Amino acid sequence: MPINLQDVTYVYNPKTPMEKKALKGVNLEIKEGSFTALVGRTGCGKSTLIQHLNALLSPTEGAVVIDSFHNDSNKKRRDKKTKDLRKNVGLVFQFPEYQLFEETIEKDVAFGPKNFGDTKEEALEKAHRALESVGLDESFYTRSPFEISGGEKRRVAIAGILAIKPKYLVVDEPTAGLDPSGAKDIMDLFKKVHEQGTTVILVTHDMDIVLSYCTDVIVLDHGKVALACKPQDLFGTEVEQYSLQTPQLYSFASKLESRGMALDHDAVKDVASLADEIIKRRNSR
Amino acid sequence: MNIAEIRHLSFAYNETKSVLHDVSFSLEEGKYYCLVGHNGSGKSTLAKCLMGLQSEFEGDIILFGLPLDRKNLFSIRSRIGIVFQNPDNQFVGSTVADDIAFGLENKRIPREKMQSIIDDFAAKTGMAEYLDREPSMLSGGQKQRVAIAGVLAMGPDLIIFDEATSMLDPKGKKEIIDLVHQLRKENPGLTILSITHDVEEAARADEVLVMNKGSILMQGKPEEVFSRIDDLKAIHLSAPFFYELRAALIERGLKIPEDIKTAEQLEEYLCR
Amino acid sequence: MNFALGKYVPYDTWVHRMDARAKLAATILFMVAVFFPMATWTMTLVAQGFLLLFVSFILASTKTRLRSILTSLKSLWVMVLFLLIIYVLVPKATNTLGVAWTWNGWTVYWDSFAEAARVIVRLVMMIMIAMALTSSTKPLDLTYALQWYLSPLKPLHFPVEEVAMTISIALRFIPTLLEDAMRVMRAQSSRGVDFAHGNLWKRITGLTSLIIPLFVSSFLRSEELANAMECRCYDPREKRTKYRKLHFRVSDIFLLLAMAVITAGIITISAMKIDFFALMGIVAL
Repeated sequence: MPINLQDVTYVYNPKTPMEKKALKGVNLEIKEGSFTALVGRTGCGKSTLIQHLNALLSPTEGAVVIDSFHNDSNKKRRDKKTKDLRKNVGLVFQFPEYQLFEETIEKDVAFGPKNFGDTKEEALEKAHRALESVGLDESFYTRSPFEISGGEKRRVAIAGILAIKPKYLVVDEPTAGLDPSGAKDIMDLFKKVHEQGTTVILVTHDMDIVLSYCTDVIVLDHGKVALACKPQDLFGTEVEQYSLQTPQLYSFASKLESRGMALDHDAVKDVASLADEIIKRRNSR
Repeated sequence: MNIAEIRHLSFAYNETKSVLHDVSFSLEEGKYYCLVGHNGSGKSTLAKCLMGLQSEFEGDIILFGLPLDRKNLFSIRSRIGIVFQNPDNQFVGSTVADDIAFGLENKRIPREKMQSIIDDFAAKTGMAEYLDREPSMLSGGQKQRVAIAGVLAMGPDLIIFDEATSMLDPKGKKEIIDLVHQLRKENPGLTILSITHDVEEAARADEVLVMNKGSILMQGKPEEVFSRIDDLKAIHLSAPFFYELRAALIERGLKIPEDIKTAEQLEEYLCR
Repeated sequence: MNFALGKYVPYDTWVHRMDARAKLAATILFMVAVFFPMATWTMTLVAQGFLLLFVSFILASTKTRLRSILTSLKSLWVMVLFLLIIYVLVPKATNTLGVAWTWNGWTVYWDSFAEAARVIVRLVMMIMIAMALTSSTKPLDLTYALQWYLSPLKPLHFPVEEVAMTISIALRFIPTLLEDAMRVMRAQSSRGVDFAHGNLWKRITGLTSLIIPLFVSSFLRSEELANAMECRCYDPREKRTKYRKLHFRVSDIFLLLAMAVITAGIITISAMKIDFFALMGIVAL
């Protein structure tokens, strides 16, 4: 089932001088099986929104409907099922490496599954699978999560969420602070997770990533949904008003198009596919 | 004139963990350098050595004609500024004005002169309206601008940016890079060494240094360095969009004349 | 956070505008005045009532909301209960107010309740004056005030400047560390930690998963901060000039004088065991 947000409003510090309306009647649907990007300028409400997806926050007004779970202002009904929801919706925060705390990597990754009721053996088994999927082999199992490199720490932290086997995975700026090749590895990892059937919701500022990886994109602006479309259609609009940058790849391709070179828009996802397209068009001329 | 001469610099945290091997390069006054290389290649350690935060190195670091040692440390440090990656962890003062003042207090600038210096550099970095703000009320980009103002107030000849934009959103990133270019225009003598992952920023530098596994692999003009795409790929680095696309097209058998040096020219050529 | 004590609220009232040194001294004088006992219960009522009115006026002037005052006082109820039990159980030597009730040979005097009430009112006033000080004074200004009062200790090799620098940095990082704590808490909640419910063991592991990451990130922050300070030529052993200067004004002197007169008055009345009512010929309790 898709994730549905119905008229979601959220107010921080209500009735104080610091009152701030972060979400103002958000209506949207995140399709099951999609790789949806959530974009918009800093402070547009993205972080507030994703915290509603696993009930870290609950709407001041409106409701978030995920499968049989209703996250709304009714606290009693919500509390009983929160744990179930959190098992189904995994949330990877920005700089997740700051959540590591166990003495060994496998224990840290197994922490989530154990909290959700697995036995020690089951949890460790899931931890090993998750570590394998993020590209960390057995030699890491018993090492301390504090003595590995920054990129590896982030993988361990992501494995900590993957081990819970969520149906929906929400990731907030997973590439922040990584070098380009590290960022690519992490994104390829989420691509793999998506291909295995997980719905992935990605918060990012990097439009190249949106173009290369995502199937859908939602633009938030001042606490409201400004646009919801396919990434390829997004950059045809005036995205600068939402403080988004058109990827160089896209603007280059559209300049070629406007000068008469008919490129297949949906095929252009990265430099290699753009080069393929250009060669194809030139050869067919 | 060379304001920095680094000769045969090696550094190891301990016997098993060697970080820099035999690094040699020099920086000319007034130029804008970008140092690229992936995480763990030794870039930040190099910056720490230059700032005198790691004194146990081998080889020579000569800055402004003075060898970097205990004796010259203070006079060298008062001529170099550094802006670090994490905006929060370099904000010392309780407000913007106090933070800019921090370095001035350390340099024992008389109190009467401080306010005008603070106002001046806050204005240059676009933070004049925020002097009374506390760091928790500022965005990451604004905090970095305060850090730059604090560094500039010390009147440095060399500024090192150690991944100063990597924790910022695109808007903050652009503001900082534009500010750096503006500073260069205003102070032709100012040398900048920017450690960065942003190859588009590096494409606008005077010279690019590429670091890998603790050594300087290449140094040269951006077009020279980024044309060596295969060498960059071998160490998991990418090139700016134009160079990547050009290489991809050549690889696919297209012939592109030597004199095409920008994306606009390439576009022109492809549509002809 | 429902903890209003110690939080600066940026209004522009006459209390806010006062010099931090004057406020700090006045606060201490007030606390001294609060603790002087009076000769009779009626005098106690008069003196404490006067002080309570005074501190209420100051606190009201800082525009502190009644609600946040009440939330701060709410945590006192355990203390109130405890005091009542102690005072009621322990027999009192003085017995001026009469017997409240006797039960199975156990006599409870009204004095015990009055005594408990006096202690509680004192505590409430201490909290109120501390709130007035901290909500109207920037932490940094308080640090400077403290540094100013400590400066005579400098010739005794007391590291006044370092202590002040340490305090001001600690204060500067409180919001940052709180944010870190919130972030780790959200991340661990997403991994199934329930900080509010569960048995003791579960709560302890939950707490470890919060505290260890916090320690790690604080150490990292302090290391980076130390480097940044050193790069900006900071040397604790060297002399530094100072940008901030506190300004003493006539109104500050006026308030300090008023406070000193009040305190001196109370001390005199207390020391000489003066009873206005007796002087006027009224026999009071």
